[in-house]
Amino acid sequence: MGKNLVGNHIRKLRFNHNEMTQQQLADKVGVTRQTIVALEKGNYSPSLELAFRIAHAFNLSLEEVFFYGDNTKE
Amino acid sequence: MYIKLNLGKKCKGGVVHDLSRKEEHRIVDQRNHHFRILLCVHVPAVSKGGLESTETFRYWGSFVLILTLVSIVAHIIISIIFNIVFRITTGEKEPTFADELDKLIDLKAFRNSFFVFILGFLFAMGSLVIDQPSQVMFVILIASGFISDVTGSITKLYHYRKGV
Repeated sequence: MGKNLVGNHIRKLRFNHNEMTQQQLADKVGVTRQTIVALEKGNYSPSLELAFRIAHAFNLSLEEVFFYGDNTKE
Repeated sequence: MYIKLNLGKKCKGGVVHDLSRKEEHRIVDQRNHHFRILLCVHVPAVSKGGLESTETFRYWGSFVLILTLVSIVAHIIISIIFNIVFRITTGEKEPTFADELDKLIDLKAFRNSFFVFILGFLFAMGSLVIDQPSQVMFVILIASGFISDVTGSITKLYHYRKGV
């Protein structure tokens, strides 16, 4: 299994948005909580559609939530 | 004509007489030859066992049907028990829908499961080729179905833990 190169700031953003829980974010973007967990752990790269939905949930642009590259991963 | 007689010698039982009668009323063409060759090879092999063979197939047919019913009921009961335990231990509801991660993992699990079943199917057919009894073929088929199911479950578990 290849290393996932798409990272994200979801965990940090959740806490910056009134300590939003994983379940609340999952409900907002229409996925299960397990998918949010997998995203935060870096075990899964979302589809473009889901990435946009998550970015919209935080009122941010795509690049402010997701980044590409292994060195910049948090 | 030579081919017809030659096949007639090789075939056993009443099948040859039926084929010969048909041949008298028809022009022999290539497709018919192929058809007859297939029948001469396969029909005596199937009818060799007679009633015993029919009983064997009936037994395995009923076995597979009962196994299917039992596995469906078992699946429902296990799902209910799992949901109850999941609800008690985690305090959250199991999702009622499959999102993109679930679908992706399901696809990978299905691919692996299908691959294993096809391998089992080929082994089952291979057992017939090397003159094993039909029971061996059915046992291999059922075992491959079980192993493919387990493979699918293990694949799901692996991807949910390790990621996609």
